[in-house]
Amino acid sequence: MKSLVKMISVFFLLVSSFFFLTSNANAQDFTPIESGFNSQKAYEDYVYTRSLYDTAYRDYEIKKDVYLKNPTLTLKEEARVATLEMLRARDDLHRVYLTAVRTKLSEIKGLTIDERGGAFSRLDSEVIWYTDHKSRYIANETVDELFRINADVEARYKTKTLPIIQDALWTISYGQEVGIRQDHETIYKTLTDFLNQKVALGVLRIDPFNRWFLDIGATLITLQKNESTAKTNIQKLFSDKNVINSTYPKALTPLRNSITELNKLNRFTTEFLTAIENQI
Amino acid sequence: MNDQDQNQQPAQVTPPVPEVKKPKFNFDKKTLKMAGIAIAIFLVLALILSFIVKSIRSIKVPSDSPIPTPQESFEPVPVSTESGELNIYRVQLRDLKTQIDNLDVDQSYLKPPAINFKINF
Repeated sequence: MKSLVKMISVFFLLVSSFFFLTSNANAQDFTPIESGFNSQKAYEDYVYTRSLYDTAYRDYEIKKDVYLKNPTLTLKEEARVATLEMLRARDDLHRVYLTAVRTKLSEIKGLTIDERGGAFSRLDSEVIWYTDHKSRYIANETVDELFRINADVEARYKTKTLPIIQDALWTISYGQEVGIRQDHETIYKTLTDFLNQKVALGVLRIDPFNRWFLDIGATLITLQKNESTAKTNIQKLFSDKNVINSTYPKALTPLRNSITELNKLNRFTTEFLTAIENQI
Repeated sequence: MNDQDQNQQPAQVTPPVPEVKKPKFNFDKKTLKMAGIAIAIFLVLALILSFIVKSIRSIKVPSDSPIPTPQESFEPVPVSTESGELNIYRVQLRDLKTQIDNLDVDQSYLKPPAINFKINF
């Protein structure tokens, strides 16, 4: 009889654990799927890769100095290997940095498909270039050959990569501001519709809101103008090579000015909301 | 002599294999019947419980569902909840204010790394 009781209790345990496990499995269906790679993760990758590059660069400098003080063949070889490792780490750094910028860009909501797509394709072409370039550093290359391959990177970075990075960083800021402005517009439109409904029903008065609309509308127009000016300025990054150094800061100025306008818009919209609530 | 030695060597004895005794269950019909009923009741209860849990979960709105657009939420607003509905926008505006305060047009933390391209010795 005792063994029977034991068997039944074991059976019950098995059955209840089965139900417990299946219910947990079902619960997982409702948990949001981890997207995995996001801008935070990409940034952490970049910070880690930068630390690897910094270490490789320090090692290169130490080995180079030692060789220059005592130019033996052995020390030259050690300096050559350190140079090779540092140059490879540098190409990795460019690739991972560009990926971090791209990932951040993918999370910005105030951009059109074209705006995002343009920046993506430019960044992607650079990622491919640095990936290919890294494979050009062959382990038994001479020091002079390493220097020659390295010279390509400087030219590439200054003429192509840097403008693309600046364009991408500008696009992130632009998208953030457009997104915030659009969110305000949505709330403002909703409140306006609500107000109009209530005015039609005789619950609310249109005064003083009809005058407030003008101020809020003017702020929205200023913001849109700033966005447009900034957009015109940044386009010179690829069209006018003579002003390449001044283009990025110039394109950021209207966005910087917009922060004051966005604060004003937020204050006005909050005031509008409060006034409606007080009249209900 | 060799033959004798060979004969004298002890024969290899295989160790006895212990017999595996299968447990014998001698249940009377009454006990088996009771156990069967108990299991059946448990299974039915567990099934009912799992269905209840599933139906509750299907009703529950996932936490990451998008916030309804203001236009949709406004049309059927009953008078008594107007203030509460408008409060959603106050929360959104507060969140937007935080976003504005955190804006960094230079994207300082994502600035390109400083690199020395002059590699030579």
